[in-house]
Amino acid sequence: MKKIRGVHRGAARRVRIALKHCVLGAVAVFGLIPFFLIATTSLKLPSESVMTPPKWLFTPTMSNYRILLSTPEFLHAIMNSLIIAGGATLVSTVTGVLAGYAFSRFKFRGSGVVSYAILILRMVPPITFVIPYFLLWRTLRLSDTYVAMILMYTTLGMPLLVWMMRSFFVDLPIEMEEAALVDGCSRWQALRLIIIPAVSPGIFAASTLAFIAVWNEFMFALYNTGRVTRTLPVEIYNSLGYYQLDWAKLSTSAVIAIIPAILFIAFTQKNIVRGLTMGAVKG
Amino acid sequence: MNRTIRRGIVVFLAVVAVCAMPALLFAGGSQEQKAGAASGANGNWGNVNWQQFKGKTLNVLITSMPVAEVYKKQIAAFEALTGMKVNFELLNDTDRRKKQIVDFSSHMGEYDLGNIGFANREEFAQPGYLADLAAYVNNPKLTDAAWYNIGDYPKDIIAAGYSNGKLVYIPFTAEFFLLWYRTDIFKQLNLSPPKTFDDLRATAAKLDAARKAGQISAYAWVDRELPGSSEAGWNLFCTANRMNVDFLNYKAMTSNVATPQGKSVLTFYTSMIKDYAPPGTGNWSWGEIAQAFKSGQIAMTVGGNASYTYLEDPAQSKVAGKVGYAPPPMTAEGRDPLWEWGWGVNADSKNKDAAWLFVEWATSPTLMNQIAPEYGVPARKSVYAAPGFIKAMPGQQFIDAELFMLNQGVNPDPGLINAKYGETADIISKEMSNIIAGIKNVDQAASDADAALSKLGYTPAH
Amino acid sequence: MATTSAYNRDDRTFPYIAIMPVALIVLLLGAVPAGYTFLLSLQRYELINPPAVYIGMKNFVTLLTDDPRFVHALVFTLCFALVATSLELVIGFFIAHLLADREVSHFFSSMIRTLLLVPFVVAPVVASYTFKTLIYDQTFGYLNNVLKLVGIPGVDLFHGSIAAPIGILVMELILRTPFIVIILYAAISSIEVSIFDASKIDGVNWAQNIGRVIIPVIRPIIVIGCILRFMDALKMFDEIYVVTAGGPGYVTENLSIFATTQAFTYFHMGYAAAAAFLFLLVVVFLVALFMRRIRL
Repeated sequence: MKKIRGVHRGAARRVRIALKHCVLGAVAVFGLIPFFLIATTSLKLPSESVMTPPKWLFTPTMSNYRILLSTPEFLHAIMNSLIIAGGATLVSTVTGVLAGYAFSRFKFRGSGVVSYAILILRMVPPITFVIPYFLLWRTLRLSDTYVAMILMYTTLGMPLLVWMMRSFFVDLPIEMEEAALVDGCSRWQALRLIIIPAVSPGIFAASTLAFIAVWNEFMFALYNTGRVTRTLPVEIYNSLGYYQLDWAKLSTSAVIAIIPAILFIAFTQKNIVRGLTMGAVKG
Repeated sequence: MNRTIRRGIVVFLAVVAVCAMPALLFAGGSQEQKAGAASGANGNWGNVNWQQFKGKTLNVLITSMPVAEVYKKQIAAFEALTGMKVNFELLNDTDRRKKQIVDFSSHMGEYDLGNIGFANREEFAQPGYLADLAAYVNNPKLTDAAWYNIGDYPKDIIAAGYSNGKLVYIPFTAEFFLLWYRTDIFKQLNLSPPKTFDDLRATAAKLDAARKAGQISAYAWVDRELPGSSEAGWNLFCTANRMNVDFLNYKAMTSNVATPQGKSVLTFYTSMIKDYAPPGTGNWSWGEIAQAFKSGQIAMTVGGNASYTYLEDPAQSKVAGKVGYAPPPMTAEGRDPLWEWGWGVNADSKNKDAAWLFVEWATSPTLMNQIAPEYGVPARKSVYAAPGFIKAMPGQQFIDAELFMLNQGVNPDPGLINAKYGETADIISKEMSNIIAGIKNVDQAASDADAALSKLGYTPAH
Repeated sequence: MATTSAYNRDDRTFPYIAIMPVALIVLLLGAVPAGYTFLLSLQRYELINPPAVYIGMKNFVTLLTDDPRFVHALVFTLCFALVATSLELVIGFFIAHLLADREVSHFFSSMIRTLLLVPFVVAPVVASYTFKTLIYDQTFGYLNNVLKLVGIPGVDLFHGSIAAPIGILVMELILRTPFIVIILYAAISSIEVSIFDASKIDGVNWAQNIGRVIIPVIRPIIVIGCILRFMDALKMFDEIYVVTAGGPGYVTENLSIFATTQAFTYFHMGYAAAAAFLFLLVVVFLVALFMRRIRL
């Protein structure tokens, strides 16, 4: 009697476990359909990419990639995105780490106001800033320059760095730097020699997320980039023609645009949760 | 942990290198291309000192469309001819227009010149953002008048470039609606292209009956539905003009939307879609319509003459060679509002003379004859008789339809050409969208449109 | 904290120097543009009919008392963000709970979590186009064709006033629920095993376990996730701009679409700036409200 019930319970448990895996698998499949479609469309011939009814089976081709990677505008846009996202990430990281450290270790006048303002900068709808930025760059003769783009995107990356780094610094045992300070290090030396090396995985994760945010940003880029600085999302957006739907080109450029971000994600998965929540949740 | 970072950095650098390599390779390639193009600058370029602004740089913004791609291929030849450098930026039309107006209005002269659409002309011309080009046309130092031959433009086509007596742009395309229909289906069902709106509805009804009976698979009709002044709003206003109705009188500031005529246009436009178009097309614009037509889903529509290149390309179109073109249905007094793209010069440009040289080159008989076979809708009349052009077109029927429209089918000064068109057409097209979606009936939508328009100062006409 | 400052003399100036760059960025790239937007909002500034004229608070008065379209956009923005956030929270919680389930293999769970990160790295504008044409479109999209195979009539996003918001909502759920899943997974999986064991001894069932044990423990994190998601849903632009452009009619027009239309289609820069500034005030108010919660 007892044995049979045990077997039953074992079978039920196996079914339950299998069911849980199936549900999760289904969730992942369902959630990834759009991205699966992008990937497969990039392997279709342009004439097959939008069809009625859609073409389910097809012979994959790399021709879209070959064409796209020999298009000068597209390569120029990749370079621009690398320069702008890289530059903005660098500025955000340097300023953000310093400020994050100050917020975590000191109580000083104005700290509340400044950190609140930084949070607002993260939450502000971009529409509020699009028009003034445009006119600002014009007045400063900075429109369509890398400097303007990098400065503008610093507002996107910096808040993330500040709040995320603040949370990493709070977690860091204070004894480490106290020991260094007692030994005669200046605050700056302690920061450079002890503290920053200790939180470097955090810095890496935070700057990765800032990089991706800038890499994908669309609205600022649409209104503020020009011939010189056009970034990848604007270039992709433009690849859909006026009189035709060039889906092969659109999805191919989308896949190429995803590659760096996926690589970064793969290396920083551990700290990503902290990044997504501006340091409020430790992953 | 540190190893992870180092690995990450290595990967990052690898990605950068992989991305950058083709760019570097190409930088070498493009120089060769430039050298090659220089020799292609042959042909008669008139008696103009093209090199007088050697070394200057022109910034050009243009809508990303087929004709822009055609021009782009010629830019190197222009650079070789003039010794100037041209930054040729393509942007989709909605954003091109936004960007241009913000730039022109800031008076910084970032873009020296760009394409101006007929319907948006007043947005640029009325505030004085565009230079008067007549002075340049008449300047012998800059223009060889005999060679340039501005008289080659059909009267109505060049007239559309004038705003308040100022020549604000020189057209390079002349576009209008043509009825596209599937010759194979029409032959199978023994139909002929409709000439009046009643014909159109009757033909659509027959096509729809044939589809329901399984004789054909294509839907009878479709038209642009995505709301917006330069989307469905344009088609709706043009349909109204072909019925000789103006939704708005911008001079008297009155609205005809809720008058019997206004409502009959709204009813016709929306009921044709509700009765005969494929389901779920509420956000369709040119891209989707052309795609559906190319894949044989649509038997008949009213589309721009410029899109024939896609319909007739067998590599991407299933219906190549099976499309008939005819003037669109019009009432006796109705005319199709012209659509044209023209080159306009920013009044605040610091290189206006040099910018004019670009306009002169781009609209010259020499260049237009060279490139017209690639886009099919040139603004100069002489091109339509050129053997190279005739050979490249889908057929004499297409050219005849174009010539008919050029000479008598278009209205170069329709009432809808006004700086306020954008906002008002947006509002009316949104109500049109409400009707198609079944949210409102025509009466409700028309009176709601009038309510919104009256806030802008338009009195409803009765 | 106070003790550290005793160690070093430059500690008095250090924090000010350290936050100087950030404060400058906030001031020059945040406060100055926001101030400029406010200045614009006090003017009647027609881009196609300059010059600008100072008209005081008139734009704000018109927006709030005489523009049903603005009110609709405001209500739609808030309702949409609220509905989207709540649904994402509920769905996300159950997925996260499953992922953290000790019966689910660790490898499988971590694989799914990695896959769920993909939506973050795809530019929203690309994902939106995919939904518009390759999924939702009844002629070209896969959804309708799959439904046909199962024998369900097609879904017309542009019929009636309810299908379009639902279409946008489903898309938003697919693209953004992973955010909630990932942070809630982190929270649930960090709950001490002993807490579960204790509750098991008490004999609580599955629902009680969630309601009485898990949720109270991870409540702060749920709150943070909701706040961030809610604020981002308020700002949503790319998705609506691409898929419905605010239509059919005005049904899916939110504040971002409303303000960009006013600015770049109608060229009412002052009026658009007033709408954008009101939007900013709503956001600042909400941030102030949430501020205490976010700083755990």
